[in-house]
Amino acid sequence: MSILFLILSILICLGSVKMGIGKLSEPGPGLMPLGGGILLGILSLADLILRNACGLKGEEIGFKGARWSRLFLIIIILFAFTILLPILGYLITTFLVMLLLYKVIEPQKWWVALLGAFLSTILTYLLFGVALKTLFPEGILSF
Amino acid sequence: MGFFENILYGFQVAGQPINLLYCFMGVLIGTLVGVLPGIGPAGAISLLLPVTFHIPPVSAIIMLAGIYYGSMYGGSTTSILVNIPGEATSVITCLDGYQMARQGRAGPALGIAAFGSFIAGTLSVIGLMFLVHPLANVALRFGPPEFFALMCLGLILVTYLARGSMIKALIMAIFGIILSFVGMDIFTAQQRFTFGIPQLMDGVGLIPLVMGLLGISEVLINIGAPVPQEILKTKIHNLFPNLKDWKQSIMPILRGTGLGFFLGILPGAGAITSPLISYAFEKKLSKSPEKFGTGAIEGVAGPEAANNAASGGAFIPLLSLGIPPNIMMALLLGALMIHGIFPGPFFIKKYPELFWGTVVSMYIGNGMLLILNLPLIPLWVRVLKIPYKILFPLILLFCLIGVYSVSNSLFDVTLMIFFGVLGYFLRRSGFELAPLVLAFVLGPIMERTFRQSLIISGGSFSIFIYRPIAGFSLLITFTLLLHSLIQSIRGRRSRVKMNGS
Repeated sequence: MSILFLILSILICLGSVKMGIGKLSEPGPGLMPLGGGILLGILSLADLILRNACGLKGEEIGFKGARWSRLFLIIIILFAFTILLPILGYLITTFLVMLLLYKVIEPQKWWVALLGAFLSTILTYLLFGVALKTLFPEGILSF
Repeated sequence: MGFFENILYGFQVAGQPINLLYCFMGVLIGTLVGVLPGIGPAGAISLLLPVTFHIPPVSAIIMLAGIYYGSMYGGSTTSILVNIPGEATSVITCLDGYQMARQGRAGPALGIAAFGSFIAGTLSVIGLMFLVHPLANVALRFGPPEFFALMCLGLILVTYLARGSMIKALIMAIFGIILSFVGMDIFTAQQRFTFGIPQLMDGVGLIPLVMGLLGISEVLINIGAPVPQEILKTKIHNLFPNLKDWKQSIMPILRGTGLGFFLGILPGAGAITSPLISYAFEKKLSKSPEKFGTGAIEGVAGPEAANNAASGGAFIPLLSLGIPPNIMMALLLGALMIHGIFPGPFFIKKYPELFWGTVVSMYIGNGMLLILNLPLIPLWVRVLKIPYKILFPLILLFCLIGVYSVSNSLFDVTLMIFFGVLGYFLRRSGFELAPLVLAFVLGPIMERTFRQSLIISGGSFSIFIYRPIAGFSLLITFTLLLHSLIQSIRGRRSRVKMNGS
């Protein structure tokens, strides 16, 4: 991650200079981001050196044992929610997303998944849609 | 208004049925997240931030505060019964609490944890009422350089007390500040780092950021490594500790209260470090220190009092200076900012309803928690049995709808998912997220005060040195930085030596 932060710091510094750093008596919009970018660069470099040259890995959990397939599935389902919500509306999208989460990620029995998806859809609709008056998209089926 | 009139006014505000309801909901949710190992108070507060958008600010803060101190109560239940701390603040309670449960004394352990928490929570609220006013009066003399220096000190303390690498914690703090720059510049209205995306003109929203970093990433981490839960099969009886238990516990409770309260005021991990220090302190003072770790009730009473007192103390810098000392207070500050309220020296004068209502609600909330935590222990034990595979879809759904309900923007939902994935990779790589969130909330105020200071001084940095409070705060900031640097070099040398031998 530190190498990414190092690259990011360079981009931030370049962007900050473009914005204009102004004078010290009249600081411009790029002054603080430039300072932040420089500090981020120095710290990322220090972390890289400590990590690689001296083998200090700190409190890293690391990626060993990470369940990548489940992780990707969750992310895809979450993104699917953002795409389907305006098309199918709140009730159908939420029900489908919850059914997928209950059935695909940590597979449950069908009745548990269906009941969980149904109850969570209805209860959240009552809380957010009815009580808190959130305007959800109705979708093509108009509900 | 005099002190007692203010308290009466606070009771009028907190006693309104709607505020009582939100207070109850707060402590109930707090206890629940304290009991459930899969989600912490910061995660729960971030999940409920969108809800607070729709309710009056007093009710919102009463509920969020309730979640914070309520989680301190609930965290002890899992430590005692499962040997898994519900919260980081209850880690040390596992040592003696679980041993007491194994010896068939789960009841007194849970009882003293609840009573100790109640006493500490109540006393710390009294301390809060007495200390906020004088501190706010002192803060009236602060100018931009003082506020900037104090915020630097606060951030450094949070990173200094980080559990992992301080360099990584500093990276997170700087990254958080940089993220807060996204959007329009406060002085020139020039767009910064918006990449032409109109939704970013107002900056990165606090709600998508915290719900992604604390809610979504928590689920992604836990899906990778499920928490083993084996509840001790023991009968829970005698929740009311006997006279001998009280004699052994009362002084640790009072000492833990004092210690926790003052450590809670300091920026950093007051609620996490105070139970550890309280435990060490009690062990040192005890006539039979060998009993600690084998089921000594003092080892439960002191730390549990300390973590609850720290939660009261943490409100002092937030309400008097507008500087949150930890991530939970940063989220509370965020909730206030959503309603256009900025805590600081004028907070009590400008918003007496909010201040006294919240403080008095904490008395009431502590009473509610005692009722929730003693007779309802069997219910919490049942809650503990809810498998994570049932809970995680609900957390994800709450994140999705929560973010959407605030702005009706699917862009914010996408942003939240992005921060969730980012949070996952950061956590796995050993980066702590608390400094990031804290810095993100403080970032705009830090930039404003920094630029104002430079304008006042005509571009001279000496303004940060010659003004006593600013100079002293920055001196401590640099001393802490230097100390951690020396420590890391020493640690590296000893590690290299160990590897060589």
